[in-house]
Amino acid sequence: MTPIARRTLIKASAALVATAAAPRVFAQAANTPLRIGVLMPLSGPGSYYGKEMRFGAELAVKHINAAGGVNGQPIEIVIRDDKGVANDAVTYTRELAGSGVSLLVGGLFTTTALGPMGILKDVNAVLITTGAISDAINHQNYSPNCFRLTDNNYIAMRGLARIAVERYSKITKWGAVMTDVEASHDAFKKFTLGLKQFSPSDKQPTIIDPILTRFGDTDFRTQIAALMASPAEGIFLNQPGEGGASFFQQARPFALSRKIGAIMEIGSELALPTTLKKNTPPNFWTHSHWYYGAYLDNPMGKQLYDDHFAATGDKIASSFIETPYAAIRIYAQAVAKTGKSDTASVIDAMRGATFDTPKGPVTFRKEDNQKIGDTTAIRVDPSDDERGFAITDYVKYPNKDLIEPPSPGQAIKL
Amino acid sequence: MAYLLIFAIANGLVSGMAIFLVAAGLTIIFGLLKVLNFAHGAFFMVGAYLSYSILASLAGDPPSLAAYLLAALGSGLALGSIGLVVDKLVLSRLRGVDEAYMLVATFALLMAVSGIVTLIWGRTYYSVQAPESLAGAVEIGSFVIPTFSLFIVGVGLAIFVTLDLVMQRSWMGKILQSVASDPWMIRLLGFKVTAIFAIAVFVAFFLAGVAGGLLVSNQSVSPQLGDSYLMRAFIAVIIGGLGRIRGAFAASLLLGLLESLSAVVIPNLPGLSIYVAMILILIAQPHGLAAGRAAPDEEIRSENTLRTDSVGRTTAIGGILFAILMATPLWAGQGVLFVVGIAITQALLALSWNLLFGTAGVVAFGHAAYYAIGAYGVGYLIRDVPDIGFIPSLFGVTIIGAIFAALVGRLLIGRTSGIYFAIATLAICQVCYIVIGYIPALGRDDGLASIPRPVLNLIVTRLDLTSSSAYFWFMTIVAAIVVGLLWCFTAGKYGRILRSIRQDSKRASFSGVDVRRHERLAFILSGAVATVAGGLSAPWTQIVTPEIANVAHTTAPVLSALLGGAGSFWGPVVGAGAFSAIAYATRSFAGLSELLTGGILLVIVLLLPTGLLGLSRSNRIIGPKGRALKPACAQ
Repeated sequence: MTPIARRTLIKASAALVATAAAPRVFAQAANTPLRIGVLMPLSGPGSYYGKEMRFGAELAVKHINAAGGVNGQPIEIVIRDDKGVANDAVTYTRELAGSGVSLLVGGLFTTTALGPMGILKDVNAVLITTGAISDAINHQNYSPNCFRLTDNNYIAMRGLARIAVERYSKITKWGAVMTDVEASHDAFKKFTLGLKQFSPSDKQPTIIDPILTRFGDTDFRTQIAALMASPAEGIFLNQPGEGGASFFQQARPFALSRKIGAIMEIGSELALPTTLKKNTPPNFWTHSHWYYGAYLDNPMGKQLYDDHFAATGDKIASSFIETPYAAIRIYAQAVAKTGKSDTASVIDAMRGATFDTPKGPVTFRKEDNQKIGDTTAIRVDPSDDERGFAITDYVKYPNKDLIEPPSPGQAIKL
Repeated sequence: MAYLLIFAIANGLVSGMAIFLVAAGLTIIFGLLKVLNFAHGAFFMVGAYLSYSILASLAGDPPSLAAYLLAALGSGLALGSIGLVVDKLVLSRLRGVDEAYMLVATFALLMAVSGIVTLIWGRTYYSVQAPESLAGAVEIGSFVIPTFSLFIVGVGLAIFVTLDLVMQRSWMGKILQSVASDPWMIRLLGFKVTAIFAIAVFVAFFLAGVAGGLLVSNQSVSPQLGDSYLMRAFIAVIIGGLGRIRGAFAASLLLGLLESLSAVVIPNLPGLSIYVAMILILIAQPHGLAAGRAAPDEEIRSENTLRTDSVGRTTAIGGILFAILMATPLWAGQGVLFVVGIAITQALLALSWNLLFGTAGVVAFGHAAYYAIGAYGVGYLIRDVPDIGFIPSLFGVTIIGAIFAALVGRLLIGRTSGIYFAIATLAICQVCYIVIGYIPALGRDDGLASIPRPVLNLIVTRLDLTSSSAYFWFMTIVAAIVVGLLWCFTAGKYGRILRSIRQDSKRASFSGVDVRRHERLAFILSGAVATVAGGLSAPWTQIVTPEIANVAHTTAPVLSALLGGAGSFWGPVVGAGAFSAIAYATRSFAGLSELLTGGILLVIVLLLPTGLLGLSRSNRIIGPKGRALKPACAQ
């Protein structure tokens, strides 16, 4: 046998082996789960929301796998506790990407989104954020590898301002109670911008300096007295976590709700009424990533709500179950569409594309990956039932009516 | 404005009384047992949760006043019983050891208790309505005074008067004070010292439980409740003079007033006033308001002096470590490499802390401030002023860190000492943490994101450090140089002088050593190394947030050094590595990290008081009879 013939034989043998092995390899690929990393705070101050997020993420996997997976491939999630800390989020982003998990869901807070965003290109991963609201994510700190599934401050705050003007036209003096953090100041700026834009020119609002608090405060009575002494008739509120509950607990003897006609809140959603129960102030509006009641005609929304009710017996579902649920469903649709799960293919499949989610169709804006879809807010009032509060009204706006022009890499020009 | 000022003063008294309710148990524990219990806030929180559970299951909504008070009493009794178990397992082993070890052990206990609370009660916030009779308000003209505020003032005064009478006027109080002062003599007189200690522990924990129960409807109940009160109660106990009920009472009211008034006078700077006040008070009254300027007799001196190994041994260990680190990018995945990189910066930070503790015997709790100066300084310069270049930025920021350390050293060293010095440095660190959040150029609480990795311009060539591997190697080399310099310092003439100061500062002073100057020099060097650690970390993490200057991070170098073994030069490095390994190994146990980390740390601290390296060198920290440190009362 000549050398050439020998090489030919070796090549032919290799080809035969490869051909014989191909179905097995293909079968393995089909059975190998598509792994998606989920970063969420499961300890520390943000863990209240992390618990809800975990429920939603696990439910998404259950639903997708029950329907046959993605092109026959099952989905698997790898959960990491980022503790709401940027460094931990960065650590786990690198760890997951390094172990081949490049499709990520996370970024409940701005810092836990900005941290991973800075390294996504470096580690060749893609992230769908599930709660971070800072405008910087699709502006100053824009990354083509990051997709935001929620409203940004500009949209959410102007949405709340529009409700404030449309529903509470008699209130013209607006104050604020908020934690002294950048997100609060930025949100208040956008809220007051919205108040001025949506108010008639002959009835422009009076804006009163915000009353500032700090995370970890336990006594708010002096701030409450300052609010009572101010001319404010309605307030913007950003006092998430246990501080918000303490604030209203201590405000009760001051009869705050007799003075303040409307509260426009962002950050805690149903966590505050759930804690306060009958002490929930009336006319309490809060921005919601997903109000289930507005989407019971949507099959995916109804399935999510029904399964949440079946698992918990709770008729009220937090919106924080929806965002990771939707993110995983979006990845599944993107991979199913292209047949590929590598980072570049998934990014291409998502940019500018529209996906089904429990809150209806959602599009990632081509220029900056910002979600375009509905923005929702709910009104909560105290009630006499066991829960102590009830959702009494909601608003659903298409956020394209509220969104800012895209300017990736640049701050919004107000 | 006048209305608000008067209201702020009235509410400051209420807020101060609430702080005193928590501080009372803390000061008893220290006054009698000489243990600074960092976990006290967690036990107060357990009291609040227990009271909530009792009221939720047995009483109506809102509960009656009788049910409310009985629930608080029940929480107190339950906590008192838990306290006896905690004392047997943990606190009794800490009497007489370094303050730093106490804080590490009780910090671990805090983490473990917080983890258990989360497991039992979940992560939900709870709200308890005040009894109807306390839910209203008293209106005097335009002033509204909540009835519950009057209730807090009433119970606070009642507890203060009772404790003061018992401690100052009763036979029992005098026995307790005698035990605290000289347990050996009291035992000789035929008293059962162990039983007296048990009574003190029961009372202190009982007070924590009662405080939790009484304040359960003052604010929401959450896993963060303990932290919220702990720091203010701790400050009250420190500036009141450790172990002094009257001092703690006065300081609590002062803090409450400051917080409340600052919300009116400087509303745009919330949270800053109490830390600034604490620093100023400790400068004026170095051992607390009730102690005067003289150092208290019971100041504990550390016996845990850093020993220096031979050049050969140190070089061998350092060489092996260096080789392992340099090889890491060749085999490790992205996640592991990142964790090891973080561990390098944490090891440098811990070494900088141990330069003070292990060599000079100075306990500081503010090293996160220098780390933050380094991280923010370098992060800002290379991101926003890239023309300066990375190396000049690192050098420049290190000099700023050293100058800041010199100022702090000048301000505090010589004026205050021991735990008072440690807490003053912690207050300075908290001020830094808060001030960072005020500065828009530093991104306020969002921090500096998208910090680029540098490309070094070396005139003849350019060194690209943008890849993880390249920057990791660079970081390892810089860290090795700094560690080498640190070792030369500790093993050399200055190190020997510092060790002599640690052993006996008076004798060292008589021998002609300028004690203060050398302590300040060590403080400057330590601050500079911590700044370098922070400076190296910024391009590695590529994001810097204010959390790097908070309490959790400032305890990290202390925990690392003591976990690894503060008596060994390499102890802090081993500790930082162990911490990173624990955190990484427990990453899949999402939500259990507090319990696991706290539990592991507690076991290590209690079983190996000389740290992990103490395993091989068990005679590193020894008591008078050649045993590991024993409680002072047993000596």
